[in-house]
Amino acid sequence: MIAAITAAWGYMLAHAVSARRFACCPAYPTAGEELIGWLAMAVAMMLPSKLAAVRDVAARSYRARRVRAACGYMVGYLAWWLAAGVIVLAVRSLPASHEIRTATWLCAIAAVLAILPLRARLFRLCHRTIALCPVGWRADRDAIRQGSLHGWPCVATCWPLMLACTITGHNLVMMAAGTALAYLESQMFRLERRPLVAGAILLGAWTLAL
Amino acid sequence: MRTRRDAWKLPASDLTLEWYGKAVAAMRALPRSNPGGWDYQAAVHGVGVLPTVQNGFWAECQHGSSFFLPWHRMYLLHFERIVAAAVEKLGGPKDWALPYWNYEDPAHRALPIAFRRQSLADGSPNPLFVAQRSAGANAGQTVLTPKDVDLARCLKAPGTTSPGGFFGGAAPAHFGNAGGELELTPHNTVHVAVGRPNGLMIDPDFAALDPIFWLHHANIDRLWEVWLRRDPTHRNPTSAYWLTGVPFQFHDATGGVVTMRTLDVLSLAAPVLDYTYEDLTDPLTQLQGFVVPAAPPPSGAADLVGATTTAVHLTDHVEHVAVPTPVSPAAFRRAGAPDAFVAPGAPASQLVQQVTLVLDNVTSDATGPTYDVYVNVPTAADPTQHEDRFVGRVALFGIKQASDPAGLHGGSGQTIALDITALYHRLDDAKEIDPSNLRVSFVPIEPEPGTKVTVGRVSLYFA
Repeated sequence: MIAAITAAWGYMLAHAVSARRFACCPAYPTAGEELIGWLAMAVAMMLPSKLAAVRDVAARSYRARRVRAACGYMVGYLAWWLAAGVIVLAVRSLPASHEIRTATWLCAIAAVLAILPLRARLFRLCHRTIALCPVGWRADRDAIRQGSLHGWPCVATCWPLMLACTITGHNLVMMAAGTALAYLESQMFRLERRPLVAGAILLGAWTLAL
Repeated sequence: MRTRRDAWKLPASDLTLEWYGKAVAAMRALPRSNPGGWDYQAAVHGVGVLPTVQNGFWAECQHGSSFFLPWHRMYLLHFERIVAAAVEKLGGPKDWALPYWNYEDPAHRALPIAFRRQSLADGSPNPLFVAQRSAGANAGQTVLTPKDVDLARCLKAPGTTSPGGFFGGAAPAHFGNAGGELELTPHNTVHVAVGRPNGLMIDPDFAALDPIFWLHHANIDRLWEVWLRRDPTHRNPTSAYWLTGVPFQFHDATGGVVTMRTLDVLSLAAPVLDYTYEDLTDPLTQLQGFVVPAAPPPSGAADLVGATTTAVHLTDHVEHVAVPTPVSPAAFRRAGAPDAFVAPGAPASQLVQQVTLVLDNVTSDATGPTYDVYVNVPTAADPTQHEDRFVGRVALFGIKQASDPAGLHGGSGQTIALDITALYHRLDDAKEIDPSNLRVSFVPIEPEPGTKVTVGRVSLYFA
């Protein structure tokens, strides 16, 4: 998992360096580039906050199946981000999705989302665990299902900031700050709205500066 | 310094409980919005009597995690100060302290008399009496059985946050992780035994409305201190997250907001606490005449060595479950230390430091279902005739709340961990265990007809 996160950040950094700017992707990428960029961003930004969950799934599996269970979790988790990526492809066909101002609006949406009561419920679902079958195809199914159970609430809460990052061409500052925000939330004992709102507002301000 | 005293040993002339009753009556008269009121204080634990949740103060009870003990200590502290202020306002003593219900002595396993009388000497209603308790409790019967108050497990438990340890799981949660040994027994068991089947104490949303709740928790708080003093290896967790990472908010006697962290409440002598208990002696020493040193906590992380492949459904009947255990003690040892020499036929006691039986993701919509758990009872035999195979009593206090995906606890259910090291080693030494198949039996205790409980998985871990 750490290798996947490192590779994803490496991909982003390499493209950013080659482009000689703080963003790794061209303003009008092809559909393939868009989808790869989206998935790499999901791995780089979202998986660090799921390290504890992956460790938990591995610890609840037989030693011989731990890596497989961890991979299953990531497949289930990232499947939701892949599905979201397909929607992003459609959204990116709209001219407004290439304007930085849209990213600012998305940050504002993220700030509003953080204070809704629904947000607290999604936060709790992000920590939900299910019993894992220890062997056979059902073990793989359960690991995927556990990842999936964490994936959809994550997409539901983080999509505005992730889409904002995409609109800024995967701006590295946006991505780093978004990763920190997602990790901070994953470590919260209970949902603390103020840092999430403040983070979204600061990111919105950064998009204005771009 | 206030001294919390044993409610059963208070002299006949002592007025501690009488003043408690007067304060309870005064607090009940306050509006629900008043932090010094009875309903408000109960809502801090669970919001059964109030329609909405006020974030930060209500429904904050910590169970199934290592914050169980410090949070309840904070909760009790502020409640005690609020009651003491009410007592003083009513003309009582300035040093009123919350008594505790010590159920160690079999003669004290009935509810203290002051909580059972429906009316006082002058004929007025007794504020300490509530009808919503088990009939036996209010009738003065010995409502707590030896299994409900078995202190040996918790007082000998290692000071870890891993399954089978004294403290609950380290991860943040209200319910959902494995609770610590003290939380399982006697905390959960006493809650359920007093409240069974539909009383206040059996449900965390209502439990703090019963005046005995506070004396029960004072005893749990006392047992934490007893555990610390009984063995030099017993230590509190030292992680920064546990000590200072999570703030909790309460109201003090003036209605002001107080923020506390675990580190603030670890020493009873600290100015912020400044109380002690009348009796902090080790009950196990009294029983055995000497202290048995606790086994050191295992050095490595636990490995899953066996688990059921499907969920287990418990009912109001005895259920037997076969747990396949494909990883033997020798295989576990070799996997953890490939270079280590494992003698053929070496007993499990030389290969495995800790054996833990875990009931994963237990869910139910019942209130406080309880099961006695046995290991390797002969096929077709009655488990209750094999008490030497008894593992522990599992009282599922709060299971309904923990099972609700839309509720405050995420719907993971409860995870119960039982340290079965001594029994497993004994059975292995006697060649009475099949290393590839563990047999686990569940015996329902005073079940309600139609009770349904789902255990997501029954697992076995070696460490």
